[in-house]
Amino acid sequence: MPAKSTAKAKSSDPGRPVLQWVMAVVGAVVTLSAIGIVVWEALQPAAPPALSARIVAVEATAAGHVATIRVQNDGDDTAAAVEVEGVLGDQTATASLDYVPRHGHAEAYLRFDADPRTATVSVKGWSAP
Amino acid sequence: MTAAVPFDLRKERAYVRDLARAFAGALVFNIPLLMTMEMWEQGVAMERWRLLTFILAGLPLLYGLAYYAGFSKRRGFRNDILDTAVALAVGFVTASVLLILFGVVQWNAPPHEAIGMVALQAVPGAMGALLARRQLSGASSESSGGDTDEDAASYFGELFLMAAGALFFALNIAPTEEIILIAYKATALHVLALIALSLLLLHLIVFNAGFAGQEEADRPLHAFFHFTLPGYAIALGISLFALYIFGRTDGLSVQGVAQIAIVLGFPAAIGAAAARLLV
Repeated sequence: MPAKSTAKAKSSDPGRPVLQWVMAVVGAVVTLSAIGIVVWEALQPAAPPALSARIVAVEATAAGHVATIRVQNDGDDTAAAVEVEGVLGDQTATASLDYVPRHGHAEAYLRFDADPRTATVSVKGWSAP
Repeated sequence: MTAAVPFDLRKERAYVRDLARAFAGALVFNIPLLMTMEMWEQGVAMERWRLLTFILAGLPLLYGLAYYAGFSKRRGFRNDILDTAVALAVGFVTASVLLILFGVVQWNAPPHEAIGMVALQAVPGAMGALLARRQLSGASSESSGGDTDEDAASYFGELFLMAAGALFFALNIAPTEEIILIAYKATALHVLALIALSLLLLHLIVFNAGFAGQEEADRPLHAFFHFTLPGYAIALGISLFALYIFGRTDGLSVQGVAQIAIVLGFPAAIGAAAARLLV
């Protein structure tokens, strides 16, 4: 029975390269998966960006102490032009991030004269992308 | 029985050549977009319904291109469907590899970010793949017509090709910041002049590239109403679509939308006219 059905498929479809089928299946699967994921994402309730910043690493360089700031976005919207500020004593350092993706993170670097382990870092504001 | 074995090495090898051409086409057409910063940002940040609209609108367009061009010599409904799916595979692979190579998609990126960026680029890449045979195959392997349906394209077919060409050019420009800046700088006079130039160039290219058949060639006015005006309307419509997809019309007044659509309509009109040269 199965042999018969393959013979039938072959006769209606003479000499198509196997590779074409393979690539077509890859294309269909990838495209449908992408559509599925985008639909699923689109159905998620939207919440504004929820940004938090913290120091994840400090490095002493010839140009002062550089703190690596990790900005986490737990919200459902992406934030653009994110302003990050760090205050250590009377020194204020700022940096801006092009965007922080929703449920993602991005890293910025702040330069201080002294060791910034005790600096307070915060997100000042952002714009919608 | 052995003669009916579906695996024929020569055929497979020929298809590898077709496939290589498809990748080349995807590269040629997609590299400008793959190296455009705004496209990366849009892939991450754009509203998901718009991304979905873009992909879904792209599917019939790709099928149409498979019908009129396609990257293998085979024809037929099933083959065009297969070509569409293969072109999408080529588009996805090209976009993924290059975006990873450019360091845009990083290994630790959240999956939705990577998928958004790649999916947005896969559709124009697939368009390039489908146009590849037309653009890249040597004249020797090209039989002198009859192997595609494009030569006998109906009036509707001609308009479809115009839409595809317009979309292709519009896609390269709509995501950029420049389009907004140009629209802000343009005064009413600039915009009117741009409409006139768009129509004039569209008409000249349509006329010389042989969109219009022999009948229309003798009647420029007829060709103007038959091809140029509908072509410009299509270019404006496609511009609006591309601008909407990339969120460029958000927050604009009606005049603002009209202005930016006309500005983007200029390259879109050139693309619509050039479709006949490309496909």
